[in-house]
Amino acid sequence: MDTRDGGKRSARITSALVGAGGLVVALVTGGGLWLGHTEAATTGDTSTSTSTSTDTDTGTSTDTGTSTDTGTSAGTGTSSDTGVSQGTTGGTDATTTGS
Amino acid sequence: MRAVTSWDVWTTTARVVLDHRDRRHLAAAESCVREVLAAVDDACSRFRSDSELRSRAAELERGAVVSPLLASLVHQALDAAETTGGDVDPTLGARMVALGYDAAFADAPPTDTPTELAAALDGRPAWKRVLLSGTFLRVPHGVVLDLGATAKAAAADMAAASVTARFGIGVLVSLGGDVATAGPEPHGGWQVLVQDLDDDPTERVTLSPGWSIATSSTQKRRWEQDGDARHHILDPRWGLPADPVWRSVTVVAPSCVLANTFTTAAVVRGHRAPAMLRAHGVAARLVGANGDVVRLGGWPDERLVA
Repeated sequence: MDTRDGGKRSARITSALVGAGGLVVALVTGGGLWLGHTEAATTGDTSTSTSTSTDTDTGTSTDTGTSTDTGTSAGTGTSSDTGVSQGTTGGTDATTTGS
Repeated sequence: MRAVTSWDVWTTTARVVLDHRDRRHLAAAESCVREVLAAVDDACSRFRSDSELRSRAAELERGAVVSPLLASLVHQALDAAETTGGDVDPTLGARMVALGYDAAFADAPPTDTPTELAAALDGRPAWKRVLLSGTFLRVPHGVVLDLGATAKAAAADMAAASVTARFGIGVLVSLGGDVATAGPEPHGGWQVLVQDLDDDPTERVTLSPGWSIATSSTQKRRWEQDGDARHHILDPRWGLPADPVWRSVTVVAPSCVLANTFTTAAVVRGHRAPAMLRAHGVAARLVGANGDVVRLGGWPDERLVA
């Protein structure tokens, strides 16, 4: 399982779809999400968002889950299905707190 | 090694993190994130009279076409309400103001009487009466949309996706408790510290690329009103701050909006939160009022590693 390949593939797909610029895409991100939306109802199958594609590619695929390939969490409860695994010692990229 | 930049925004801190190999993109990535945050603020800030949501409030009572961004943010807020059966309610804006939660917490006015409150909450939930069709939005008279619960998380999602889309790199965007990632995994994986207050128990986790993590707390954004302690997560049933069964709740999900939706709903549901989180199959960490930690849905337990 190669996480980097999975990530790069996602990025290439996303970049190819976007082209016109990231911000514009971001602002349009939800555009596809509400098409066909009716009063207080939501539908998940109407999305045409490029950003949503990114989430799917990198969020739900087993290919992109943290794994022993990265050397960061071998045997420590890694779960690509849940998106989280045991942390490693060293630097912290972010802290999640209530806000 | 990481390339990091941060700045203050929305009474919290925005943080953009790239792998060291992508450091040449850091300034441009920050600019990209700032643009997204500014656009979201312009669209739906409750604290700015010139935001689209506030400046067009009268017009929206009749219904009007709004910007795609505002429509998207409203959609995500309504979706959060639908997903949680109304526990995450975007129509509690008026109650938040009545409880004294505004740009400044001091000098909060008295709250409504229970009778007034019951009348205000009578009938169909207000969020079900908000009409959104395409970009046409109608907000019933007397309903004040407060997208705060989901808009910040949505901004993190959009900002991260925007950076990856523009530069083809992995990125982590943190807006206070809301952390979104997109693109390839950095060297060593995204390392996130889970901690609410300084004295609270901490944990360090690795976030898979493309996933997000969010925390809701009953210990932050607190104020006093008539001698009663308040916090900013309201129980829609009563229009009052939810019982602080949990000091904080942290959830990992494929999007930051979804993670934030579940953390907010968990605080509202109190003792019923674990069952709700298990039903949705998300990894979650809950810190009880007494400091005990509950881990669910595959959340890593460091005690099993030792």
